[in-house]
Amino acid sequence: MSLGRDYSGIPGEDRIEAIDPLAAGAPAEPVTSGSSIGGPRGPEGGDLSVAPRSQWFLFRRRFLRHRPAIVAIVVLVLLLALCFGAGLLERFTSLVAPQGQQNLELGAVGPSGAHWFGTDQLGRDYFSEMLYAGRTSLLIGLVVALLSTVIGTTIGAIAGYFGGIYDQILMRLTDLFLVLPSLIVLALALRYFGGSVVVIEFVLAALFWMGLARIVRAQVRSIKEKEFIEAARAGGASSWRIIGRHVLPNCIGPIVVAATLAVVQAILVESALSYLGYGVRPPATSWGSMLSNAKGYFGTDQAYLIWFPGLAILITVLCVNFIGDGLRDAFDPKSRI
Amino acid sequence: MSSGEPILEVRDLSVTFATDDGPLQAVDRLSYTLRRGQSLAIVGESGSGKSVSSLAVLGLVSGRRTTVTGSVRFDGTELVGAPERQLREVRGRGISMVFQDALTSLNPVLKVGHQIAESIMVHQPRAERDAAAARRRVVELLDLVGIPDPVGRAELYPHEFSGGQRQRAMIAMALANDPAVLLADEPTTALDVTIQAQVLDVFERIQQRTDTALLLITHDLGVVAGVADEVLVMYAGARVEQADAGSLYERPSHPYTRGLLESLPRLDRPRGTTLGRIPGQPPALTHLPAGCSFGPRCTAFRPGVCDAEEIPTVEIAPGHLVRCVRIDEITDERATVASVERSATRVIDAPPLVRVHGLVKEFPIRRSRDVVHAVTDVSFEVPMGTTLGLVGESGCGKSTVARLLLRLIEATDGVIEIDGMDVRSLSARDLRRFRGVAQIVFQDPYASLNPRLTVRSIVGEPLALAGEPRSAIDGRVAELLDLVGLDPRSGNRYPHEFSGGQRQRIGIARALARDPRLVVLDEPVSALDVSIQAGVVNLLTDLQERLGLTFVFIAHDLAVVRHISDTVAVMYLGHIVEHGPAEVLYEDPAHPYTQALLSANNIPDPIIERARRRIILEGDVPSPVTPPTGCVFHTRCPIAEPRCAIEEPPLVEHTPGHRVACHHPGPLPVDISRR
Amino acid sequence: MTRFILRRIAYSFVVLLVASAVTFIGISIVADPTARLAQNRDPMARARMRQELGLDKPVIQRYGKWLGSAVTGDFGRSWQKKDSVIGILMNAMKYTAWLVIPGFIIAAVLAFAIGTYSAIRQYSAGDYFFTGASFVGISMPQFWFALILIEIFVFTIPSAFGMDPYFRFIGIGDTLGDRFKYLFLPVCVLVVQIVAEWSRYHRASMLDILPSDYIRSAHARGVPKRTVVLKHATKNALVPLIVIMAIDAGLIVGGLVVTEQVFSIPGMGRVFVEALEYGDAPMLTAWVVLTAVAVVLFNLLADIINALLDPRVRLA
Repeated sequence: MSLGRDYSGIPGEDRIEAIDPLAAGAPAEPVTSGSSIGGPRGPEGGDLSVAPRSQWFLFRRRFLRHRPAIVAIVVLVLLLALCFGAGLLERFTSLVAPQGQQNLELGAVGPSGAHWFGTDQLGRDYFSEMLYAGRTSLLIGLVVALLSTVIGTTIGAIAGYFGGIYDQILMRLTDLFLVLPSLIVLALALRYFGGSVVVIEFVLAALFWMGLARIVRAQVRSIKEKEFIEAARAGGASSWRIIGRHVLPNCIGPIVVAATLAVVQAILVESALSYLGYGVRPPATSWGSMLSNAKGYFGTDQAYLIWFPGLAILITVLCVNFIGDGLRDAFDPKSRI
Repeated sequence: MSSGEPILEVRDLSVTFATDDGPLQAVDRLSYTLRRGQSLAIVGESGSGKSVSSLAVLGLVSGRRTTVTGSVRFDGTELVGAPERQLREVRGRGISMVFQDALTSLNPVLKVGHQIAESIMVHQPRAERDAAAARRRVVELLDLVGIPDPVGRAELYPHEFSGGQRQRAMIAMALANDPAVLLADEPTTALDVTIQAQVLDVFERIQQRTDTALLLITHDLGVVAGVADEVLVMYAGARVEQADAGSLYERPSHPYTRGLLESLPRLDRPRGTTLGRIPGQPPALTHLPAGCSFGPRCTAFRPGVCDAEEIPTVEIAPGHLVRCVRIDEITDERATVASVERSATRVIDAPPLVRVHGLVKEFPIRRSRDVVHAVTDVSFEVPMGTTLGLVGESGCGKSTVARLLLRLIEATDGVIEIDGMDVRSLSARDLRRFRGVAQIVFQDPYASLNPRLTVRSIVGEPLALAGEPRSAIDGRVAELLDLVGLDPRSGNRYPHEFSGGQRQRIGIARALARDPRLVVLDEPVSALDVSIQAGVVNLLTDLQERLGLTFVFIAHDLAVVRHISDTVAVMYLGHIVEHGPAEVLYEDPAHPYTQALLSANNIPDPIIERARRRIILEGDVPSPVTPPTGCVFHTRCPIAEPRCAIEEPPLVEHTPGHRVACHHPGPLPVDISRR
Repeated sequence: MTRFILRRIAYSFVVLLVASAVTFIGISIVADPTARLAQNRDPMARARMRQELGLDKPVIQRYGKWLGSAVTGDFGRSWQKKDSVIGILMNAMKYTAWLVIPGFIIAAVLAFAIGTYSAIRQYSAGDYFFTGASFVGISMPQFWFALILIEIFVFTIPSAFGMDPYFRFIGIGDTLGDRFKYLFLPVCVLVVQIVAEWSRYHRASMLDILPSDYIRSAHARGVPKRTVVLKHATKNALVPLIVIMAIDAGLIVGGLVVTEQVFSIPGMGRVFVEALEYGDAPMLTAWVVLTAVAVVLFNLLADIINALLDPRVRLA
């Protein structure tokens, strides 16, 4: 089956199937990047009406067997729905308060029926604040994964396929990025460009593509030696067509798995940055910035202010990690059939 | 010797794996008896359960999803269900194994000598372990299997050994404790023929010297003919026939055995016969047909009889067992498609389609001034509508020639002319046209089709690239699939849904998409089982006649090459050493290397095989980075003289149309060959 | 091998050169330690300071000057602390080493044991436990884990390990007993995270190796199971594990910023945070060069170890 096709915009039963497990874990987007690099789609690229049954079926069966990954998908979908549906919940239920609504008289009170996660010093409902902050954290994870996958795949594919001088230049560039301490680059960039969410996303993406570039390069180099690549060349296919149609669709497994890792890295690094004071700036909030604000409360009755955002990050990252593990097993034909 | 006392008795051995698709019956009630000093061969194609059955003997198939039942008695001791401790004593001491791939079966980070010594020491009580004695024994063993400089070699790592030496080191390791049974699982399959001959020679010497019993697991009926006293044929996990070697080859009785032998191209049979073929595919072991598992492929199949409950095994002659319910009725019927005579002699004076002159390819080595001399000064012509067979062992440069012909890689020097086009200096436009004239079929049916594309996309890709409209492509793809014997409606399916033989047909369909004039076939059948291989070979010869194709057929199997080729070129270390019409080359080989190659190929007939004169070449193929001076073959040549090391023999006409590169062409003197 | 090492070192110098240039110029553009003087009543104060720090000259010229002295081993003086940059870094390195060296040794032993156990007992309860635990380990934000540990060990169960609620993390103590008290939690944070990664890695490579042909052939020769696992499999799996450890060792030097911040350990991470806040260009540049040197050196070490342990690898 070709995952790359699930995003070609052709409606159909199996497209929905294809999106299902991946969309929840969000790393499916990188797939788009994979095929967007490719050359022109041949006229016969359209036989998408065919159900890519068996191979896809095996993949799905292997994935579905990974129980932690299935649970992770459910949890992550719920989390996404809650965070991005917070606006709706606020309008139609009393569970969620408007963002930033203060109640100075109330102050900080522990978790209760009215305030599930309690309130902070300014009397803001902590549960609601967490949902709003979650949008930022999750969005950063997803966007960074998408961007870094595009960069990493492009660079890795060019270096791996064309080799020679291209390989030399691109891999030296990768080495340089690996040597530069990411924190210093981040802190400098954030100082210079300001701490807006978009800047954070771009800067993180610019720092997380190296691992993927190396993986894709290695994959491309091995696939390049396969006989079906020679067959395509003997048939007259151009290099770009070979990369897009024959090489990248066969690297999809490692790319998707690496993309899940990028989600994880992005969320964790953003929180660490926020802790050091270089993360998102008010009024925007993220779980990391909430933690940063609460870090003085350990050892007090308000310790719950530390627990909840941290747990949210832990659960999110854990879910993405489990999904990544499930995908790895499912893509790896060696893993228990 | 075969009257020795029984040492290994296997009764109703079954192995079942639980899979997602239900239980997989890998071995189904297998029984046999192996006597001291005897050699028994278990023959079967991939998936027949032969390897699993041999691992099960040593208790090496285990795991939660595996069930082993039946009985394995070694020297009177039951091994099935025996405790690990007891099994360990038998392993490597009573029964030892030689595996197929010595490179992966030796631990890469431990020295070879150490691994052999370990095999000795683990079977000694801790107090009696004597490292110095073990080391002496290691040297003795390495010497026994014919490894030069055994003292020094013992201190090397497996990757520092050549392929043939590794396999011999494995054998040395297996012999370390003078086992009663040597269990060899495809011991020569990964080796080149001249190396295979060396290894088989080692087995032979062991059997002559000791009363070690040999259990040989193989798919190669030729090897069996030379080595085994008794043969057991397996199909879909079960024994279908068992007999002493002589009767089995002379009077094969089970339809499957007969089909196998008929589908085997033979070195001693000239071109012009169509191979018998067994239709269909082996069954999935998770869904075995009722009754006879060969039933669906058998031409003697009788509904209600063959698919009834249980097929009995009958003894048709003393010691000749056959598992066939209709054996009495079919003994005189032909079980498979009859061989049809084809025109044996063909006109090869047609004008050449391919002209290659002085072709050279050198691969640079990274960070080094050295180069790999892959192809050196190769010249040949292929007349239109004929087949040139290009043979040689691995690394001889034959596949490089294939890629050069299609300009998948750039030549270092020389001229390639195909259909009037100067291949090395094509413009981008002419290259596109050239892609329609010359095409290639690859060896590995699994690696040569993009798993992410449908068959229609794969076969239609050359057409799409040539700018054909979509509608035309669909029709043409269906036509091509039909042409290669596949269901024309299977275009929507993916490669993994097909078997190896079918995949190879898809590869052929792709090559034929634009009606090429030349098809280069790079080991197109060497990855296939015998019964499948025959179908593909027949298809190729048939296509050639119908479409007037010109073939360059590359293979290491001389029997297949003889079957299909009009002219044959033998390559060694980048050079063509002999080139001529197939009949001449096979009947009167003039180069010592060709003669050695031919003698190393086994013929599936024990009588002929045991009477043949065998030339065993010493040593290994030298490195193509530093090829020998003078004649490249002189380091292994049985008749080399000082001149050969200095002066390179030119490829000159020995008899009309028959070129040989040797200072002393002609039959080898009798005294240099063994037996 | 010598040629390989020499070539790698030469290449490393190029990488370091570019890395230092990027950092130096980047910091000069972004950070201006004189900015706080903009509102100063003395309008000349800022200009004086700029001149004092040499900021009035073009950045390329300043970098050239810096590089000129850097090659002689002089990385200049910190703008903020006025001391020699090398002195400050060496001092900070001592503290970081107290954290990293015990952490690495403990983590290496644990990761090897857990990885081996999980591989030979794949899908056992113990394997599931360690797998789950390591997933949690790699999924936690480091600083949060540190905060939670403090919350638990210092406040929830008071006087555990002699850390009462009045205990404040600062420095690493003087006596050995103190060291234990100050370093126990930070080392925990470090160990949990790297054990999680390494044990998964080791488990995966053992699982790759256990079904391989040479393991099967060792069984077939009657080698006891224990020897097969601990000698035949481990000798192969150890190579990638040690290589990963060496690479991580290079990364970790600059990677403890957050942990050191939480536990107020005046190591490399603290130096970095302080220098960044001040815009201390000489300090930051030297810091980047030092951590980059660590990365490059340990990568080289990883390659050399790989070549020494695996007879198949030839460095060229």
